Amino acid sequence: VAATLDAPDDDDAIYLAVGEVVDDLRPINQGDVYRGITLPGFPADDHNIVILTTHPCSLRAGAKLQRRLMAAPVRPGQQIAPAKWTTSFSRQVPLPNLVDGKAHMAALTEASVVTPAQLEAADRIAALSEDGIQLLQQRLVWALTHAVINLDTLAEYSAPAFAEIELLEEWNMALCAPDETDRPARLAAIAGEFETYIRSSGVQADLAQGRKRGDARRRARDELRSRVEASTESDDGKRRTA
Amino acid sequence: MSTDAITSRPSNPAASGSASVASSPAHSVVNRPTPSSPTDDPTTLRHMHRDLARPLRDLDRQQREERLRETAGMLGRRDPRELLEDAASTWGLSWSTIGRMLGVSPSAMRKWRRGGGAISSENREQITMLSAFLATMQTCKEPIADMGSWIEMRLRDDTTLTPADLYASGTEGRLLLIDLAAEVMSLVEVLDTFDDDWRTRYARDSAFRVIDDGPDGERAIVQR
Repeated sequence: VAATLDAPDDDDAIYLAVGEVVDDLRPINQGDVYRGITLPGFPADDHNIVILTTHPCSLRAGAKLQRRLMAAPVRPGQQIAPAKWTTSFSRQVPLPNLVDGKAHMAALTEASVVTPAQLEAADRIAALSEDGIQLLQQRLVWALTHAVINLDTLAEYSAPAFAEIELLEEWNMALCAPDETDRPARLAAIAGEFETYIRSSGVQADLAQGRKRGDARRRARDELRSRVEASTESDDGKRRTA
Repeated sequence: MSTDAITSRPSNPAASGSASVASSPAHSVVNRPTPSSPTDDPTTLRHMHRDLARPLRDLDRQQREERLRETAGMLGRRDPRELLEDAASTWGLSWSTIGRMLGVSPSAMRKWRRGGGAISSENREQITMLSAFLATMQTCKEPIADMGSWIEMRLRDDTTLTPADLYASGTEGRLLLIDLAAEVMSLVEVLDTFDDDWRTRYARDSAFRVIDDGPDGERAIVQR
């Protein structure tokens, strides 16, 4: 049986967000695309867009990002039909309609490192969807080892990390006020609270098990709801006192 | 109706012979079908069962579909964003799975969650249908204990197909899932009806698998 790489159903399926600056409420994840970074070891004019390639499970130590993360350069490239993903550009990831509707390609065999400070100073211009990240992972494994791992295996492995990132985004959306003055500090604090909660409550362990994942998600959302209610009551109390 | 079927059945030799059977109080015609009754012949019964099975299944299916649409109609009065929130908070579904089941792109789903992006009337119908489906599944014979987990899990360990996949395929897939929950179809019947080539088309990765105890004690992808 011939092994082939997979393709998205359509161009839209690979993006969670594109064509806008992705806000800071979305936790940093594999497949995020940043403009304003040139990787070390490349001429300054070689590229100014990169894609994060570090696996979601290895991005953070606790609630904090690792000091260095893997990234690959992204350059303008050919717009290819989804069907051609299976046999063409196998060491690259096609990024259709990335900037002003123009296609780009991420070169997976030219990976280097970026720092969290570089990411903070740059614009996140796209974020891959779960399907998009799995396609990236499949091509990354192929580019580095010439092994083909099916998407269902990659999806099963990454499911707990995806669930945590989705829940953290919900916590950020609910707990970080739009007018927050020090957003990085507030988001770091929420990430810390979230990490402490999912570890101590057993939610993290249950998210790792397919049979318990739905219930774990529900518990994390219940906890978020009670924290929002507590925060609202506290704000009301402060207003009354003032 | 063959009289052989009647005369050969009694184990009591004294009861053999149709005249003595009919006259014996122990073999009253009130309690036993007459030899001429069509319901007394197993072969005829099997034919009747076969002939009735399809129309009965179709009728049952129509009623389920009707109830599903009726429930969706009722839920259609509610705010679609509230229904989406219910799918996540009450049922424990992930947003990415909700989007996949509704057939909307991940970016559209993300905009909805953040309160932006208009929800078209077609998508609103899809959202109410999903809510009706989730509610209906809980009224079945064996309610799903953890909907958010079940909907994302493989239906069998030899296929990649999940309930979310069947749901996303359209009305037929949804009704198959309801039939499965109602225990009127077996799992293999559901899968065969969905796609008779499911064993090949939706086969799992034959080369790699995920294990819980990798080299560093964490989950890992290893060769089968």
